[in-house]
Amino acid sequence: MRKIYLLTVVAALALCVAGCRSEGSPYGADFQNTVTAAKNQVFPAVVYIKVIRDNLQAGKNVANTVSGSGVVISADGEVVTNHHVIDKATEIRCLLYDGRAYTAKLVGSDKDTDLALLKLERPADDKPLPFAEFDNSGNVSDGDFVMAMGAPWGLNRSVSIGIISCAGRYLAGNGEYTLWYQTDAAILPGNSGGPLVNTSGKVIGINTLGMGTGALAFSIPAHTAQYVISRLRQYGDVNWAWLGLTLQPLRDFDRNIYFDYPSGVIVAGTEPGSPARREGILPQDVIVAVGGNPVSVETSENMPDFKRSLGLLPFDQAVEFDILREGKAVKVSVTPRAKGKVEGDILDLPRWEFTARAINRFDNSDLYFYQPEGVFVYGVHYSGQGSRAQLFQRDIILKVNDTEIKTLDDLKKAYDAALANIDNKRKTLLTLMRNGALRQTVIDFATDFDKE
Amino acid sequence: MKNIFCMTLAFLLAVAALPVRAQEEGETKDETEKAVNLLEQMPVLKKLLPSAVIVNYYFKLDSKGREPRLYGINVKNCLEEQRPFQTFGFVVAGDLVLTGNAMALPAYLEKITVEYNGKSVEASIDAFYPEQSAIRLKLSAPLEGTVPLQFKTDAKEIAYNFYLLKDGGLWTGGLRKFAPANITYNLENNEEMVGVPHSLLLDKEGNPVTIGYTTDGKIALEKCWQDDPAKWRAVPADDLYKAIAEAEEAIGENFYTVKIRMRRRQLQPNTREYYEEQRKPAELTVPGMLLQDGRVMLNVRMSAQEIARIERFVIMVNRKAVAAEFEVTFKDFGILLIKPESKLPGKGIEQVKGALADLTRQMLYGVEIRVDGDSLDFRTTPSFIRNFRDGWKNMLLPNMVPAGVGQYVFDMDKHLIAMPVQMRVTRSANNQSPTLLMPYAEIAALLARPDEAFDRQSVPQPQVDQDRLAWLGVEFQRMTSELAELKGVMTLTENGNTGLLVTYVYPGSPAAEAGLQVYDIITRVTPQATNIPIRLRGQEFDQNPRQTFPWSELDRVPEQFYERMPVPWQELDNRLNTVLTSLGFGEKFRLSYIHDGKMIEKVLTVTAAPTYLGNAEKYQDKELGLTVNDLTFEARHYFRLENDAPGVIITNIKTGSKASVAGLKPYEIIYSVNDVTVKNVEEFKKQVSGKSDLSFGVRRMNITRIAKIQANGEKAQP
Repeated sequence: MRKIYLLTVVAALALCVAGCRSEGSPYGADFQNTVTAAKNQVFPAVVYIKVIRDNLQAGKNVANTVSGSGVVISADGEVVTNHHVIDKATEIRCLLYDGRAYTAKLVGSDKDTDLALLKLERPADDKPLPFAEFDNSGNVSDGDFVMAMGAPWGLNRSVSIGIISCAGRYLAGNGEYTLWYQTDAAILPGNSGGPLVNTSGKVIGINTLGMGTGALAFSIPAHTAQYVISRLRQYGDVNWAWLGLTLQPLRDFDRNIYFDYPSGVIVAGTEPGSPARREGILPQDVIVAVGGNPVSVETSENMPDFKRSLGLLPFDQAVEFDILREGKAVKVSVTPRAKGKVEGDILDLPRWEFTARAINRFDNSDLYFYQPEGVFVYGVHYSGQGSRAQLFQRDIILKVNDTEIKTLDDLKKAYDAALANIDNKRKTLLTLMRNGALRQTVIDFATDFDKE
Repeated sequence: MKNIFCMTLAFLLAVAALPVRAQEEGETKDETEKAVNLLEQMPVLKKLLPSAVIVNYYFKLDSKGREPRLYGINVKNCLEEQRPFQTFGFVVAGDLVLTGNAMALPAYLEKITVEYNGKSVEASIDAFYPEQSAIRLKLSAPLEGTVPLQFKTDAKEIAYNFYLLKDGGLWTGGLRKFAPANITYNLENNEEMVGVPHSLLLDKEGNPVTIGYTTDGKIALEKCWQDDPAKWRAVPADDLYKAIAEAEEAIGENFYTVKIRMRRRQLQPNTREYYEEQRKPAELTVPGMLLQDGRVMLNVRMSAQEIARIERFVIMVNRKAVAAEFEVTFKDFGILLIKPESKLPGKGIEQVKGALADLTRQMLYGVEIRVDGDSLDFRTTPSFIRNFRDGWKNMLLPNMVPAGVGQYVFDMDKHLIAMPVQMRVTRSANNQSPTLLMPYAEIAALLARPDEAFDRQSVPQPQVDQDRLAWLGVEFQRMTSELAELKGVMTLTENGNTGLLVTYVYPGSPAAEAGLQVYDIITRVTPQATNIPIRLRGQEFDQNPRQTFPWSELDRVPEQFYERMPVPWQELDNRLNTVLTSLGFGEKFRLSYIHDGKMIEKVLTVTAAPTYLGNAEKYQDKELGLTVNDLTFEARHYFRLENDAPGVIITNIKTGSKASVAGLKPYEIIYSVNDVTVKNVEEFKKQVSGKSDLSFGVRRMNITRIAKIQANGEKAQP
């Protein structure tokens, strides 16, 4: 269905271009030349990515194949794509425009900005690679012509053209550290991770979110990507600095909330156990400067840039906050910590037919509230033992028989122990916490799939 | 039906009689056998046939479309199959036939026909014989060829009985050796009785001596051999019809429609109780019976909680409303007494005189009383007391013919004998209780012993107290057979069907004081008052196990669903606490629970729960569109808050309100207003009142933020 749709779009675009030519393009031949030149410059660097990934969402490991796009950004084979393309990958293969195929290694990946850096594993005698260049200047305005490129089906590359609909789109809940480019250049499934290219043939963004019809799509700006890529290259992950601050802008038109300060940002609260709380930053404080640099977060559109600047602070190094507290100026020194993982690892329990995940404060804050260190039911295989025992997603596992469970390791050990004792005792007592209340259930063992 | 019954009975009698004969009459055996040699009695049988006729009852629905209630006759089948109900009768005079009792009032009878030898005439009910449970039919013309029975009044014994029977679809006459089923002596009224089959009884020569029509299969011993039906006490049909018509009028004067207006329970939406409550009407309409002292007795079963929510009583008198005040409720029975503000027109129902036992074999009638809008609808059925059964606390309860407990039973003088009453005591977890047909004398006697009879605890309460709830102080889940097996309590929990697994014990609660612990299993609650254990079957108590609060989705919940959001925690208003509440505050009960595989029993007292969300102090700010409640103990437990942690909890947000625009959500906690911490609704109210700039400290789980609202309609700055 989608394929047909995409074909139609491509065909329509081709027809239009042909038609425009014959009738005399309103943009003139120059524009067509510009587009063609830009396309020719970047197309060779667009990569088709094929990924085999573990998928434990359905309560058992269902490995599946997904594909996406990427762009080569250096002659030695660095490829940028989306985090969601290579997430949980067990194997990544890349196909170049000229037909060369490589296995790729994951250098690093960041869920928060949905970016990943790959390195192609090239033979020693490999020819140099074509690569695309970023335009990090941030000189992108609403209405600029852009092209979205991708490689949805192998060798063929595709391009769609449009304009920047919004050069600073704020998407609540998507991208804590970045604003987005919104474009009407179609980004369709399979194009994820491909480049958004300007008329000079430079990459200005990485295509990430398409909204079905194609007229509404979002890309991560190159100037965000550059920080992320350099940290991925350096550390293997971004290692955002974390302070544990919850912030609010000065003006929130939607909620009709206005704070009467000329500049700064409002502290809504601090997270338990965070550096900010430890150093005594309080709700209702107004941060007016960080490390001597004045701060102003007027609206939520300004928030990602400020959060990124906080996230990129060097950790384990104190930074001074100028704070306005009840009308008085206060200085507080806070040492950021590495944010660490933003989602928990996953464990497959094949004979119980469910998967479990470690609780992560950023990903599962409501579970973290009850059990800061713990594991929860991630996926339940339908009609399996887990679903028969009425396990539901997000049940926190407190105990297996009499063993307390804090980590996936604990759970794995308890599972193995139960499995080892299967001849004496088939059934296992699970103690759960669901919605803040204790619950017990009994789980049986399923068939030994390995033996079958 | 009746025929088959007779035949079975007769057969059983014959069988039962055999060994007795063999033992006691051993030597005269030959002579006796000779005397009752049935094979020689065909002439006797044939001689009786012209006295036996077939009676057809053609039923119809009455003007309100109801079927008659009759004993032992499936009227519905007859009507559906468009056939009459058939039975047999005996000709006692040229145009008079006696037959077993089908006590249908004329309203339910299309016609009655009597058949003999292929000829048929119409007949009508002429008289009722209450003692015999028989009726006399008057034929429109004598039936040709029939011979009236001549009863012998000086017979010494009964040798045979004669009957008609539809055998294989064909009418057949039959003669049987007579053997009494039994003889009995009643220790209380000294009656000597003999069990007889429903048939014509004959002496050795084949002379009829009486007909074995009875209410309970027995006739008096002294009448056994000589009881000419001509001497039976007959109630002329017209007298009965007249009495019933008068009675309905008299009942109309003493029974009223009474409306009980109740406040709704304050329940959180999206719970089973909430939807059950929504289905219930806010006004109960029940029949009320005027007593001679001017009070009105309401026949309605209400729990203490329901009574607490009563707002007012209205008695409808000739379509005009008369207000009434609550007086008292019975402890054991679903009876309320109310006092009208002005005197009602009727004289009050009179109680029957004399002992209940003397009322057997009397012509009575039962009246079913139903509320029909503002008026009452009566349905009267001739009936009599068949026998008695032992009931609640040894009360003797009448069994009526036709059967039915839902009727007020009167005698021919309009005196009340018995009335339907629902037991009020809780006998099962689903709080259902049977209806008893209770002698009015017992109720009247209880009225004279108020201390014993009345429940003074259950009274209408002001709104704030109406939702007072008893509690045990535990959270629980249902047991399952797997859990029971694993914990080794299969027997104690009836394979896991019974039992509530304790998952939390509130500190300071009755459960905590009794020493209950997490993972104990509560199986039974036995009220001391009744000593009837209420088994806690998990299925009935289970709360929706899937229910989790959408914390992670809260910002995406559309406003219109706010008022239907489930309460995040396990509610206090659960079925266990409802059962305890229904026992009555202060009542003692035995709690049976399993601890470490052993059954433990403890006596506890029904205790009122501390203020919970359902009856906590509440403040609704209309301007902000915000309702907040005190943080009650169960909310504190859910949010793991200390007892003195500040805050009020948002329980409702009006769509489109200022609070809604500011992004406040149900079940978030407001812990400060304009930088001042608020501990309860009172303080919250004080802080918000009269202020135009409001800044709320808001917490969702553990994430805080600040919400600002401009009140008093002042324009927010751009």
